[in-house]
Amino acid sequence: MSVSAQTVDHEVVHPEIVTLENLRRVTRERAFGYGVTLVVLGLLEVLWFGGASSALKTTIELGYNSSTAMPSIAGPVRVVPLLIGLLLLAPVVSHAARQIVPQRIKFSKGVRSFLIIVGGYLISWPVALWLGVNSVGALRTLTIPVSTTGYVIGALTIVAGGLLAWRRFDRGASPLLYVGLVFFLLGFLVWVARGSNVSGLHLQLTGILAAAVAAATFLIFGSLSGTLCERSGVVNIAIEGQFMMGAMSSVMVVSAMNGTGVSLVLGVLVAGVIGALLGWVLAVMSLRYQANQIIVGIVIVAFCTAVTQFIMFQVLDTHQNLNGAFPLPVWSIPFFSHIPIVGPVVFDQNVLVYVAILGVIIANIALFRTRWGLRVRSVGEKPIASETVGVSVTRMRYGAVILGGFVAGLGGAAFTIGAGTNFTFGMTNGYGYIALAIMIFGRWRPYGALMASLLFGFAIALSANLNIYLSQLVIPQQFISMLPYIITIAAVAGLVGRIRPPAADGIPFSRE
Amino acid sequence: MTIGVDVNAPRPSRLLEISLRVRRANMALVLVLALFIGLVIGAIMIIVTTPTLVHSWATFFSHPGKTISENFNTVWYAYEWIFQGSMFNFHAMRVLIDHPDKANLATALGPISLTLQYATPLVVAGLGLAIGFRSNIFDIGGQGQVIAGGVVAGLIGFSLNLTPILQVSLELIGAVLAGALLASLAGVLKAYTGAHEVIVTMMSNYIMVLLMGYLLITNLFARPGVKDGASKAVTPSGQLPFFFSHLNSSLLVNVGFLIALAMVFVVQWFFDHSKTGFELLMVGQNGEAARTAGINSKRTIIIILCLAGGLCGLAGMLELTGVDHFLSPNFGGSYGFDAITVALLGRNRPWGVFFAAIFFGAMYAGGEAMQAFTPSNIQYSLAQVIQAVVVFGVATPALIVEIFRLTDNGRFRSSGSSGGWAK
Repeated sequence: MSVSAQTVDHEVVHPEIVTLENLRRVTRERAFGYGVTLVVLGLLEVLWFGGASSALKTTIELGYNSSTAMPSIAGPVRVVPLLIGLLLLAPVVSHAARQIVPQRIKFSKGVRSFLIIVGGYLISWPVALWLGVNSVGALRTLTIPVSTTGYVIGALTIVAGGLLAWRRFDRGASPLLYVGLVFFLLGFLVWVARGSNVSGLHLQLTGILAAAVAAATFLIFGSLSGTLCERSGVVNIAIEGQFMMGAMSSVMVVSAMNGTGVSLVLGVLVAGVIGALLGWVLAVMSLRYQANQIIVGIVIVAFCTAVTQFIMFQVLDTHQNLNGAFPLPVWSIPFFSHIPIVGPVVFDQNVLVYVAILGVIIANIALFRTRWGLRVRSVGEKPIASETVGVSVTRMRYGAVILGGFVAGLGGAAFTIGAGTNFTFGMTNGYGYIALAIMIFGRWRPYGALMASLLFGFAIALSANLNIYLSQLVIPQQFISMLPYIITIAAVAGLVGRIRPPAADGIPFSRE
Repeated sequence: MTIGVDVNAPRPSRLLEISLRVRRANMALVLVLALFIGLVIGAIMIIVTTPTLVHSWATFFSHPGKTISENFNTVWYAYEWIFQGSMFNFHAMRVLIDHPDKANLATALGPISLTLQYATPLVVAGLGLAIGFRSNIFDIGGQGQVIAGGVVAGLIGFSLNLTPILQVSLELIGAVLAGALLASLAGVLKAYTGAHEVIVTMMSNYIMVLLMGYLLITNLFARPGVKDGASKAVTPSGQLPFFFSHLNSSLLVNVGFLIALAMVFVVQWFFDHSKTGFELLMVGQNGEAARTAGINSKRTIIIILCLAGGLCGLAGMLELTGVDHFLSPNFGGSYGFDAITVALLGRNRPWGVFFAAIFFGAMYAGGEAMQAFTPSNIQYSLAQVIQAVVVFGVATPALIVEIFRLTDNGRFRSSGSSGGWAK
């Protein structure tokens, strides 16, 4: 096994030596880094947003902001589901209430989650109606002062960051960082939309968040693909290429069949299969011929760029009917979709969004709870050991890379039919590389990838949706568009602290 | 065992010997075969995307000869134009021989001039990235560094009006520094935080495109009165002189090509004779050994990226002061991205990069001619598909060796490891 190309660094914890002591030190270091980052963010919030004139206020639209209309239910009827929901939730929250439940029913984890889901479901509906729509049926809004908001979130962030830096606890460090960053972006939004209570340019928070989840979809697929490949020890830089080809092929399949229901399913599948095919090419090159994986990835992207450009201008420009805008169906989860802000953002999205979230859950279980996952991870950490106990390194890697390619191809479909637009050349915009940064940010874990994707999706949606406040921004439009890229650099450069990639990542394996 | 030639051994057949020698893999053979595969894939793409050719296959069984000749002719015509548009136009040559005068000479020189004009920035940027690749540092931010160089060269070029030699030198220094500065950001981040340079440099590409877009609408850069995204023009004293402008003003090959050629020698010397060059090679080939030998890896990483970025910045300067003379939102085209594949195709050797860049320049020029002169206007991107396939073949020669059942001594089996992420 060759280790020749590992760049030498004295200070990095040597990846070969994984002791409990080392891991603990790394996690404590990371927690400290996160804490300092949060304190800096908090200070920035206090100085920047808190410094706004105290007279300025921002109006946020809380309400339902979707194509489906709000159901109107008379007052008394709202109370019934609320009462039933509270009744169901009572045993979960209160110990006293649990005593009333008959002894026969064991209060297991399953029962508890059942109660939470059904109870929450019943409560959310009337609460949504009450919060989102006022008595006349118009959208309810919330007006908050800008500087006070800055002070409050700034103070909270500083306290949380200080606590984290002082105590250096690992559990909860990453979520705290994510919450801190999201709060920073929210504060920024409130600051940007200052004076909207007068101007009427209300902050469409729901719309921006929904766009964030939509933008996060392909990032989730991309970073999941990266996670799968790199856990098995293969660097997949070709995600950008898999995005492009997936985006183009899905739109062509769907348009050729006029956007019927079957064609949409087929379009998504074809995108996945094309991605898997490219993954297979990467696998053959890097496993069979042991080529440099980064070079192979770069060349695959170059090839995909050329092919999509050629087909775009040679075929799709003259045959517009092959490049139509067909959106995937939107699934509104009944009642849940009416929760203000959360409803339209999470429970009123197209099918691919649910597939992405489901994919994260499945990948997490598969990687950390199954025999296959254990083998994939061991192949990525110490291939020679896996080979010794009879696990074929090459076969495991083939499987992981092809599966990763399939997932990235689905991400490609999210660009076109997922967003309901047609294909344009260059629409992937480097998001395949950002997905890799997200994978690193999420520390090679599916849930981490999900969280980081949502954060980056928020940044992307933010940079795309600030046009109406351009006059309020001191910063030109181009700099706002840079936001996702700058955050990416910051993310890989140190916000994450010391990270430990799979030990055999990117190193070809041969049995000799 | 005795050493010497066994005179009694039967001599192998001459024919067998030749056939064995032909099948022995070497880089030139791999290159030719990769080009062959590229042309075949290009031909398939032409046939699949041209409706008349697709229909011609309906009569394949009744008129096989007609179908094949129709397909072959279309493909041949397209490839013929790639050649004629980039090297020699046979018709123009004949006209020149019949009537040797200035105008005809200019027409005959047109294709080769265009090829060299396109190749100039690619040579320099490709050399820069090759320095990185040879040391296992993947600077894929060529595009951003080309833009950085172009922007600074442009700023110096239109705001000053000095003697030509002084102004061009200033532009050159400014562009090199700008590119080096941008790339060194990735170097510093990699050396001190472990951020992988592939992601940082890729992101810097997008940031630079946006930054240039912003700069072009500021008063500093924009032409007075017109905010159409084009900058002021470089003053005549800041422009690189053309070789053949007295023949025809459309012949844009300029002194920049000589600078690019000089850079090939400089980089060759750098790797063969300088201490730093040796250290870079050492870090690339065996980092562990380099560290043991006392080479400071952090410093080396930053130096590598500075050199790579500096050369890319120089490429931007050559393009701006030699050809474009003013900045526009799509300045730089795809030179920075193509420089990556140029470096790979040249197998990171200076002269390899030089000829790879000429090949790419020829494919650009020929692709444009193909798009202009073929009946179905086959898009120039076809040339890029062919390029990508050729690079694929050269980057993984083991594939070509296996497809064509060549013999090798394990030389092409492994292309080395890529190291992984955060080291």
